[in-house]
Amino acid sequence: MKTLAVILLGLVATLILNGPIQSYADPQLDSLLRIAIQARENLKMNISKINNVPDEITHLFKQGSDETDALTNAINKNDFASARQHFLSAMNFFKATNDKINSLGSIQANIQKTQDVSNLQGEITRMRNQAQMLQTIAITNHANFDFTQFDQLIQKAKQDLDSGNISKVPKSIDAANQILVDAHQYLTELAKQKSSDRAKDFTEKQIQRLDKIGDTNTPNQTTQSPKISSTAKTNSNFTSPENPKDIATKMKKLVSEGKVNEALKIIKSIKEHPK
Amino acid sequence: MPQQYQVTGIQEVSPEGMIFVRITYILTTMVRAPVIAACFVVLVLSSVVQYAMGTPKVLDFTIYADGTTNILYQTDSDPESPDSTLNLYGNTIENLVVQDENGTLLSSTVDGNVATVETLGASTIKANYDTSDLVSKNGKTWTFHINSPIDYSVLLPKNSVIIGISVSPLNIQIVDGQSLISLPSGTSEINYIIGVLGTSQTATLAIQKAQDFINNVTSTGIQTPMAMAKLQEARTDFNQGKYFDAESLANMAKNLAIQEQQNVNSVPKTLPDNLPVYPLIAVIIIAAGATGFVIMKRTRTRSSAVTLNDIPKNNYIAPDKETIYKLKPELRQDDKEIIAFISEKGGQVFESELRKKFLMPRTTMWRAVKRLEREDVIEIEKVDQQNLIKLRKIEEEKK
Repeated sequence: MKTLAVILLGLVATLILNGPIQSYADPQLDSLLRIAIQARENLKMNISKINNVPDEITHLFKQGSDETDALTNAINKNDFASARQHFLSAMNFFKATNDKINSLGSIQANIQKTQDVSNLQGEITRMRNQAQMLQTIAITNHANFDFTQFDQLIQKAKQDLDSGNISKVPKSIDAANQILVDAHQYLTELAKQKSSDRAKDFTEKQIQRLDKIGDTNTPNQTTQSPKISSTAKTNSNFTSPENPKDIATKMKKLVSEGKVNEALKIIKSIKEHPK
Repeated sequence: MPQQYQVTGIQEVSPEGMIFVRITYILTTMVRAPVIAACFVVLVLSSVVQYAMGTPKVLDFTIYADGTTNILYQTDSDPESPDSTLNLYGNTIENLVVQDENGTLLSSTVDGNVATVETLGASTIKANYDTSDLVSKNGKTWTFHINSPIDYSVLLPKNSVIIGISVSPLNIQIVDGQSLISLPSGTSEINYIIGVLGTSQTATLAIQKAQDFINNVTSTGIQTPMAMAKLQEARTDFNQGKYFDAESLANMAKNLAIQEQQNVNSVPKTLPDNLPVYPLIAVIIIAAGATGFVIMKRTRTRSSAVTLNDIPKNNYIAPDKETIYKLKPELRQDDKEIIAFISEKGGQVFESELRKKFLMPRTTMWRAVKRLEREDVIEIEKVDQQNLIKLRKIEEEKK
């Protein structure tokens, strides 16, 4: 009875704790409003640049704008469900407005420079993130790869970008990218090298496991033993199929002959065709 | 003894201390117990099935300005299996790095969008890679589309403005000026535009542009007090984070500078009487002669030298760009611009020319070129260790 009470209390406590978590998981309404307003303001500026705005665009934009106002009201009333609905609705109208503006093709590509800068900045950020990840991996795996030159090149690219020398940036980025490619290749090779050692360790552990199974099984309990697929048998010239002891012995032989991959095939086959 | 079951409550204590329980209650409990047990079994099985199918446990997308998406994909793996397969998002997988739960590198091979990882005892796989297949572009609008089996997060590029979202997000945060959106499992789509208006970036550019123009005007000796004052206002707004206002004030400053310049230029000028006319004419003639000589010399040098960038002449006839657009309406706007440029250049250009024209880093341009190659729009030919990009005749091939 006491155990039951404890379990029930535990369940009740979980329910109580889950309540606030659920409400915290609700979308941050201010952020929703900010997204909607940002979309509205941007579209408004875009529309103001169009000569003779088609009625359809005006209408769609107005509907989106009205939904944004309704979203503001819902937030003020703490009406989460309604706010979410108005948000999705507003974004739908804004998307439709934007599609219509795009189809007009009247907004000139006068933001090409902005896009160039944006792309280059994005590329620098991407490379920095990738380098950071590769650096962490290199440290964890005791790999000795020097990222100093990469850091210098990225620093230069950033300086050129900040000072408006945009044409110089791609050169630094390309050079920095080559270092990342080299680092990636170096780590891939390292992974392959480590893989052979790990494969050997893994196979040995599996052999031990099979040995244990073999020890616990009596001769009559062969039905509990793992089974090897015909493919694996062919690949490893394996003839004695069902006894874990036999499998372990065969695998030991393969490992001692350096044929770890064939031993791995047997393990894989056991996993794929369990009895 | 039917009377014994006619008690009013669920349980009743008799005067002798015996407990009677309603038979209906017992039956209900008996029926419910297996149902509850079955629920537990289903729960346990569902987790096993998820484990077996390699469903991701963590899924994070980071989108960059050129539409490349970096994906962090984490899932469980069977520690007793030598390898594990992952179904990756996207068809073009780049920069794949796989680690186990301890950060140890795992060797992997990729075939299409399936990665086979040599897990060798690892219980968790953490894959990190880039793909450009999850984001498409139409005009200025970028669209990220995904169908995820679990909740996931998307980090949008800097200065991106969301203009459409198909599902209500679970959470939104702004991290270093970027929107980090958590979305529920299932299909969802986010439409966004980058650096259009009212962002810090566009405001900075507008201010810089205005400042450059004012500097140019002032260097000719023309004073621009009104433009300078307006530009100062733009800077103040920028510092307060009012990027919309800052941008429009900067544009106004530039317009004022133009006006001030025009006002000064419209005042008629008279040549001073004491200007030495003859020496001036002589200097102009000498300068013109020298320039002509230099140009002639350069032209001769060019005609005699054969550059590496000379595109081989053959019987190649470039396909029409409009035909390509018609046959491939789904092409991204920036890809269309590349096609237009190649078309203008006679249907074939070196990749280096494309990079120079579009100010793109090698990798970004390479991705764009590979994307167009996959679409069968272009073909890549090696000429003098350079990539020659040629438009393909899609129509003819289809026939």
